[in-house]
Amino acid sequence: MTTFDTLRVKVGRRPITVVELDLDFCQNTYGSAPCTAAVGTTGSQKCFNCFASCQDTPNYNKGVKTYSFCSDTALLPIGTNIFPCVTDVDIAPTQLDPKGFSVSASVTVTMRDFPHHDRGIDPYYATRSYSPQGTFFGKLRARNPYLVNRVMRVKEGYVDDNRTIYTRSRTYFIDHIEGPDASGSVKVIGKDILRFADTEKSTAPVLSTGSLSADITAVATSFTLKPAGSGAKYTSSGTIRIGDELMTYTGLTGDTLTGVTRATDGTAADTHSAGDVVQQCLRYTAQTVPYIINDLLTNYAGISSAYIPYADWLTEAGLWISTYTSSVVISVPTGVKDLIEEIELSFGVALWWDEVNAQIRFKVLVPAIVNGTIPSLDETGNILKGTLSIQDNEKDRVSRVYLYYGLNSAIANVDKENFSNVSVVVDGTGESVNAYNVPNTFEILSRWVGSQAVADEVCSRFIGRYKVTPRELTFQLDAKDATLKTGDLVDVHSRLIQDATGAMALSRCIVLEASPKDVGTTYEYVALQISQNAATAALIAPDAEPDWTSATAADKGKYMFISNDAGLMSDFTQGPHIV
Amino acid sequence: MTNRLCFQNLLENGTVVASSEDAAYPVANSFDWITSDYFRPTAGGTINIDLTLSVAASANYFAFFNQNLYSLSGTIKLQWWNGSSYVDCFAAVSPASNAPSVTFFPQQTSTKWRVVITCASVFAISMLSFGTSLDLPYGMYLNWTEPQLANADEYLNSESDSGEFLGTSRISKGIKTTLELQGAADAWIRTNWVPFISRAKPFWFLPNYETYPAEAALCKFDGAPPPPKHSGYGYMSASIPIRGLIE
Repeated sequence: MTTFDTLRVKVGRRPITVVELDLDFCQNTYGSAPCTAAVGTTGSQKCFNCFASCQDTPNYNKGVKTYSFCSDTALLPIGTNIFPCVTDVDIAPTQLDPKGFSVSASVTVTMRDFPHHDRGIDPYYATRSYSPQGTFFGKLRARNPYLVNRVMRVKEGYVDDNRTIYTRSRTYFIDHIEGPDASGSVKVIGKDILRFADTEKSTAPVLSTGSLSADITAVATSFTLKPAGSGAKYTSSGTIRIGDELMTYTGLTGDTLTGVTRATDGTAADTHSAGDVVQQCLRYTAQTVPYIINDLLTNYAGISSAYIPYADWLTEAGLWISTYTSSVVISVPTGVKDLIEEIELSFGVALWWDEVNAQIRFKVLVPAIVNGTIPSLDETGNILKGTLSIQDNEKDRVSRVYLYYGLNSAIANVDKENFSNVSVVVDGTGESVNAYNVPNTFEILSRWVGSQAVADEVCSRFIGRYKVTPRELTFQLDAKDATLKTGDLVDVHSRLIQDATGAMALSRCIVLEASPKDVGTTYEYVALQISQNAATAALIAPDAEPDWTSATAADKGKYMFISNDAGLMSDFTQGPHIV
Repeated sequence: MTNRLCFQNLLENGTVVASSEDAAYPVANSFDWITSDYFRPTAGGTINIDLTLSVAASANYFAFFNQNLYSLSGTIKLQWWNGSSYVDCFAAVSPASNAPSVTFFPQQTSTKWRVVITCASVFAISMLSFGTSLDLPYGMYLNWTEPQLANADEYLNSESDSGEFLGTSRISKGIKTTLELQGAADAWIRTNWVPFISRAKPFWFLPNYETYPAEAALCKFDGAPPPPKHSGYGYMSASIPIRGLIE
């Protein structure tokens, strides 16, 4: 059976790139119930089944119309309206940044505008009083001014001998469209779903618009909001902030808050004046990391739960950080992205958009556990000529981690001086005169971590991952080998990576970026070499496994080997340490 | 070698009605010379595409391309109206592939024509054309490449660091060759060549229709066609870069 993968590995494959835009389209027919529009009454001509031209907006019935475009090739699928006008697709992949918020994936699709007759696009083309005029994208933009955030897909694939297309899809959301310009070029720019968490797009909590209707004393336990009707925007019970005072309340009747407990969460009671803003606060009490991130993304960034594999998140968290919980009050509207970035650093977790599977991935940053087969790449059968480069990222090495936690007050800024506790973990060996001989400090300010034990563990995990200068590998692969995804493990063998004897050494890496170079033909990867010398988690080897000296490189990376009392392995190399 | 061009399309000159038509794939898509849009009926069966002209016109060729009749066991034919009934111009064709197909038949003249497509399933076709053909005065020069052999595909080869062959991608770009006009009398140029060039639309090209009647290409000018030049007293010639599609 022909599939994307069977064509991908075929010599003489025929690549094609298909771009799809899902734009709004009214499902009604002009003038037919429930649409009440009528030429001469509601407009001088029929609409274009788009909201911008709608003449009966109360009955507008929003659906989706998919517009398809493809690269300029002579082989197109038969029987499908697909416009061969794509001249370039530039995919900027997700960049997994273990020390912060991953860089969003984006895509820029460049297309050539063209005259178009409107058949298949304008449902009423036959009734128009004018002859076909204008260009495809000129008309598309005029009819669809509201296309931001609509789904777009970039499908990389192949055409078979029957002109059927088999593709692998990457999902984005339209950020904006440029053009058509004087040369007839149009650019559609798409970004990944995590852009909805950007500060300018979403905050948590949402800014409250209610305020005190009258002055209150420092002991008042009930008060009323203005303007009238403001109460509808507050939860029935919760936490609020007025000035620098936090309060909880247990009841809400109309616009009146009742059962107010003053001066909570380390704040002081005070008098407040009419007109002072009453800000609803966001409170998490002993909630897990996945719960909090999921809540922020779905309830504050407006991301559909369809893009969040929450069960997978719980499994991953349950495996590594099941005891981590947070109790936090957020009293100032703060960018969701900023909050998630704080959480990622606080607990050593990563979040990124998997554009191929259209899901947000969640992973705890722990030493890579090998479970199953890791793809192995070498210069003979995989790595394309002249594409492998290796770079030491000295600036990313970490020899000591300071994690500040225990914010003095729920209203305090997340600044170093406002924390009462700090966890410090130092790699003394790495800082010694016979090693790097210089400290590299990484600081984390966390309102989310609540205990010394968690803080110490997080610090140790960062040290374990970054105590050796990270090496970054960049290489390209033919499509036949292009199955790696961001976050995958891979073993790389190259003459550029040697051990002390000059033999090729296995380099186990985690993929940070994966992107097409020539779509359908070559793919580029950026991978981070994982430290083999420290904080290595591994499986227990089967009985037949030979000792360290005789073990294969692959098994050394996979299984656990114990050093002798002097800390040496059977070949007298330094053994791993339990951190 | 006898060259033949087919560019007149009577479907562009009259009223065209299909007996069944999917609103998203109207019949006008089948004769607009755009190969990326399609005509589709709403259901399978025998579909008639009727052309009515205000003035009788002649035809001696029928061409089609970009269809899936070949995979759906469909047939296609052209009929002309003899004043009392529709008569086949030629026996129905069962396409064996998606290659451009041009069929010649004894010239007929009529105001009414009918394309009959019989297919049990919903089919799609992007290009239909019929009218009178034009023979060039002479064949192509030596060193000229005929369309069937003028593949212009791009090849992207992958090679490993150690020189191993890892894979090849083929980017389909159709064909690229030239259309050579030579020894054309001044009057012939004015009567035939100027109308052909000025219409600026694709055309069917059969460089040797007597020996290789199945080797047709749907071609277009590759850039602005250079004007003909005098190559002898009273005669002109031109070399026109063309690109085209074959299957």
